[in-house]
Amino acid sequence: MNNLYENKVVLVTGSTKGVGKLIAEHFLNNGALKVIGFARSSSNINQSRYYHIEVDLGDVGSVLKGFAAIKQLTESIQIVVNNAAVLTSQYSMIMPPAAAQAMVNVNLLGPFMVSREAAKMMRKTKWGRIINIGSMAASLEPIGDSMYAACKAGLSTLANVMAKEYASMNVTCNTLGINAIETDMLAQLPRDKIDAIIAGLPVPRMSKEDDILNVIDFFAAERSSQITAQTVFLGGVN
Amino acid sequence: MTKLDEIERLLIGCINTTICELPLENQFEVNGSTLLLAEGGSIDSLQLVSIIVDFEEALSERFDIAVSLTSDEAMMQVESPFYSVKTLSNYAYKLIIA
Repeated sequence: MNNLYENKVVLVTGSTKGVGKLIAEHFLNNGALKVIGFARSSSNINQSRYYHIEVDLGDVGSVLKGFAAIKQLTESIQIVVNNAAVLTSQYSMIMPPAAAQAMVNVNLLGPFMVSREAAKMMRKTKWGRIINIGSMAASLEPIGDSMYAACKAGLSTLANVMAKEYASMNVTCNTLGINAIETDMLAQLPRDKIDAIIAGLPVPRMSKEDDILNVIDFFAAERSSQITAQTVFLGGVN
Repeated sequence: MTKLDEIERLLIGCINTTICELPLENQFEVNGSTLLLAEGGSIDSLQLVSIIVDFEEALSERFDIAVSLTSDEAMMQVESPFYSVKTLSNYAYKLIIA
């Protein structure tokens, strides 16, 4: 086991599947002291250093209860990855309002609440890394993804403002805009639409696991203390 | 010591925690009449945020009750609760006994 994250306590939201599970396992495999997962469902990560808390990221009260549970496990958090997201892809005129509201709640309000509660813990040790998982949708603005793309664009803005607020606490806030990777979320979208988008990218291939983990490691690194308020897109999206 | 005195003492402790981090020449003595977010106050808005977070936590630990000092109600008060140590202590006291 690599000890890259020795003594670090990490919180990953949406840790039960897809990118969130990949990232949670990455921190575990690299020596994190504790990895705490927030998700609505139970987890199948069986590791003694993994602590799962069932939280509905779209519900403010549930997030606050999640942090109360975290405080029973640890006094501090060093790294937060806001990964949880929901996606309903639909033309705006026929998008169910409840689906649009759910995207705002989970994709924007959730990361806001998690970041602010985590920052309160990070300020005590004056060190922290907040990493948001954004999307190429924020830049490419594809038809059918108006609310999803707006939330992901908002996520970068959230990080950029928080970067200013938290800079004096040595807490950095950045966003990784991933492109397509094989997940349950991707399976909800028409494959031909995804393939056409990928074909138009400067690096015309889907993301691999290591493409994502490489940027996560960069943002989380001790040496990246001056890297804040940045959005890095994969595949040449800008 | 009354509950209000105890709350004021908690607040002064939180303010001292924040000002301890300031350069020595910017540190000052804190008492009930110390101004916070007021003309002539010695606390900037970011320091006040830090004090509020600490104070909410201290109140929650001491009185076992979740207190939000920055609710809409606080913002709508005719006299801002954040004017001085005294006004913030009084406002927290009102929330605690409510």
